[in-house]
Amino acid sequence: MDIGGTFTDCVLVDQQGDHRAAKALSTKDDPVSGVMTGLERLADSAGIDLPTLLARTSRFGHGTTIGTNAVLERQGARVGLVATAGHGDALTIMRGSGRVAGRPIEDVFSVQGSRLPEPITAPGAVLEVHERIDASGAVVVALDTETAVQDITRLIAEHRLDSIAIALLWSFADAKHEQALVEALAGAAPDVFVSSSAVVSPRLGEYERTVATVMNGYVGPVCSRYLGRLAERLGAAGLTEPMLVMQSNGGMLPATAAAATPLGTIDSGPAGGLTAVATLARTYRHDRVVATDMGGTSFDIGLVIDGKPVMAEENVIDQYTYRLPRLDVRSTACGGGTLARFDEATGGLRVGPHSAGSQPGPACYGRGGAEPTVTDADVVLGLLRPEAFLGGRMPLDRQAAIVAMSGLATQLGLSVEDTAAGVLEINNMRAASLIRQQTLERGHDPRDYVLYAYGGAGPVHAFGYAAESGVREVVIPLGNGASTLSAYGIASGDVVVYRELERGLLAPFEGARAEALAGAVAEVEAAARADLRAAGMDDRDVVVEVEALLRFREQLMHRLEIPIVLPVGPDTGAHLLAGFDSEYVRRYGSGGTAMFESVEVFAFRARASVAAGVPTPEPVGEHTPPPETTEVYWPGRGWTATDVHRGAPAGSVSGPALVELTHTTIAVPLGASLAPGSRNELRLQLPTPKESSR
Amino acid sequence: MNAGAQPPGIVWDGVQRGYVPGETLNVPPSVRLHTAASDEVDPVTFEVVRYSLMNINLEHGQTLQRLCV
Repeated sequence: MDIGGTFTDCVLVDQQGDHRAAKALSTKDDPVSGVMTGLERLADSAGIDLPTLLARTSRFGHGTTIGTNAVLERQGARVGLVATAGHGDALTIMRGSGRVAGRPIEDVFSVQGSRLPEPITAPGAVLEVHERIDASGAVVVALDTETAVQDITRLIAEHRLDSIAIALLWSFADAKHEQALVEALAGAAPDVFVSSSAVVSPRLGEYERTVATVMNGYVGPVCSRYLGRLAERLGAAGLTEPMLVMQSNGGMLPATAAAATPLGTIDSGPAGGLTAVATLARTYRHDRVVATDMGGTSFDIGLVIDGKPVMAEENVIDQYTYRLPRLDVRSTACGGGTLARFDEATGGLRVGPHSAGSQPGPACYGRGGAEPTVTDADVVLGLLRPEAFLGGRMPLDRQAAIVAMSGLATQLGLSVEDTAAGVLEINNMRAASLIRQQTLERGHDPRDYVLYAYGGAGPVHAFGYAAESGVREVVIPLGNGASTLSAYGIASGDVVVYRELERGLLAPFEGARAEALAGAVAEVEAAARADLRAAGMDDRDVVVEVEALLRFREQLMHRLEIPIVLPVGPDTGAHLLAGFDSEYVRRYGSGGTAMFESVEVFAFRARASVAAGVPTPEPVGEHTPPPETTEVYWPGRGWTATDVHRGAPAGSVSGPALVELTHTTIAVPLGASLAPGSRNELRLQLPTPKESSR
Repeated sequence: MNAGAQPPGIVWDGVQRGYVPGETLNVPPSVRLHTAASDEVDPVTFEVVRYSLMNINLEHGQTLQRLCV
């Protein structure tokens, strides 16, 4: 189950790997009822009733945006912050980049238009307690727990708080003061949701750690209530298995564990898609994949390198930055609803970053939108046929799209078609910029990648942005299932926890340092295993991977993650250094390493997982009617007679062609070919630049 | 706090306080501005070049950040 902004997607995967999908409109005021409607439709499509479906379910995965929405709409709890004396203003002071953190590039350059984020703590609800632990974890000033708890309960009463975030200095070096407060508050204020920074985000960085803790407290009560209510409804309807909840790190967690650290559910939406891509890439035998999800408003991209999704360690929500391992999915505003406009100052054509959203939506939706969008450009060019949109269930208004685009064309002095083609070209260029940045940043060439295109608007634009980034092979994973790929990822995701440990260790890792290295690896591995045991997993099914975060000692922000081969042996230290050197050279060239002297490990990260064991998809034979013909204005070519295939084709299709699936359309330009793969995927082969210019 | 919401009288001049450009730019008449431009560039090419320059700027910044810290 994946709750999105517009639709709640449900995917059912059976023991043979077959999958079926159902969609229901999301019900924002009471998301549980949207979930139940979707499930009923899914049960219907499987030809059974809901109690039977739920009783036969061996695994129930759920992705929720409830935490993300609570932050963006400021509907979270009343949180109070408990900080070390003298550090109560960490959130207010923030970092220098606070005005623009996480904002699109256009806003970064607009000093006048930027602003600080709204506070997330209840006004004035900050308490400074007298205690101090130093960087080595030694107690400098002892905590008077009794007095502190009295002060905190007074703070709770005075500000009517339902959540307390405790973020003390250096608590990740030794958490005893935070632990003492958490234990005492469990007795003194049992109804209050308490978050401890040493548990939520045990990483260096006072500001980021405080943000993580307060944010966890802000969404905690809302998430707990929602997950509790949903589990209750599903239980009453016949579900016997515990519900699993999607995390932003791409793993699943049992609902009770997820409710304790709800921060992990924030921005977990796009993680489902990348998780599915990582799973399918193994099936389709692709090592390096750019995963692109183009929806109504945003364009999300993630990478799979050597079969694993690429991780990031920071996230920004509403300009607040915090550290938590998560899938590195980056977004930009170039989805189907992205608005195109005339820029009076320069006479140029601008596309984005604003979007028409789902209300009013593109002009062709006929819901009152008058400004031209990317989807309107698709309709004007004939890439989307009005009568075939969403399998004919939502006819589009082509005339409205032409009227909207004509206004812009007049301002630009171009024809309507050239304007629409221009909108597409600029939108593709914006998408390709993001792909280029994310691959080149890691020292990879996008031309070595296969691009997966999914989401409602992905397959129709993939030919454009893939060519723009130099990628030649595009895969539409699961064919028509591409539009509900996030839900498939939720259904097939492994149960995962991440644990991090800050521990500074200077190379060379010999003698006592080798022992310290082995000790730290064992400690973080044991912590991750313990987390999964606490979440109810069988220790024998758990697989743990550990990586070290390394940097040159003289560097502050730049680091590389190097995997450690377990178990730790006498060569581990040497392998670690060799791995760091070769990765550094691969990214920055051999000259980059010459000026630095020593390497240090500053943190360890363990990933403990239990495999989902969802079978790979089986091919489905579809009967497809013979192709029809339509006229499409292909950018750079003009109006061209184009074959239209309804349903996934049985054999190879040569461009120019359109392949219309129930929830999406695949555009195959001249010179390209589309062929069905053996596991329900469709493979689009694009011509080389030389071939396409012929 | 947004500079635009400041009470009048505060001058973000880059000397006493940090420089923040106002809603309207007051350019002294003594400054000679470059006004020549080509009308030949079509609006799509113009935007492609403009957006690319902006991204080049951004990527330069990231490279500098990596090299410095």
